Amino acid sequence: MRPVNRRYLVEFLSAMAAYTVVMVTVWPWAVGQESTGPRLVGAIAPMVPLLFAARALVRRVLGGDELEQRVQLVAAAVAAGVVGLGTMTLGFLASARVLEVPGQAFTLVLPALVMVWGITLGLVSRRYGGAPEEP
Amino acid sequence: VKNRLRELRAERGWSQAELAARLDVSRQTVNAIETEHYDPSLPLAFKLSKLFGLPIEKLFTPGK
Repeated sequence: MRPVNRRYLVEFLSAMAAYTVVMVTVWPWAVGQESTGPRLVGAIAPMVPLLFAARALVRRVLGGDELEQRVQLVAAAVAAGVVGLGTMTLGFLASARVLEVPGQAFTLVLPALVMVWGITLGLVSRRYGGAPEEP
Repeated sequence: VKNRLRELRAERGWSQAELAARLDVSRQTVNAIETEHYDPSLPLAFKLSKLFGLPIEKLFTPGK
């Protein structure tokens, strides 16, 4: 495994472990609070480890070679397009009162983006010949 | 663009992983160049040229 990939795994998994801890400890406490202040802090708290996860991803992409960066760029563009158009459609449907979209649906945008990104990464990698021969 | 990467690598007895390490790229990138799914940038082509001790035109030739 290349050092850039190893570093990414360590950074990303650490961030996701911290996210899990926040969601198990801070989040249940925050949503039970009466006043807005603690609820606000608790609501924003999960974003801290997620920012570190995003930082890990950016460092991984920037540390990749030219083909890896190209593949990542295509996957990111496709993910942004698919999720952007999808959420825009949901927004219009909600505005026209065809569909009721709860506010919590916003939390699904990032996972959807990451999921489409991952699927597209696999497809685009295959376009460039897929997995290399074994060493 | 066609290339002689696989042939030159085999002559030297290098695996894709070894060549990738010498070029500081991923094994997937070496594989994509060898299988002609990807044409490298000029800086990477110059790196290959230097590594194999051959001018770029001896490594790469125009495709159809």
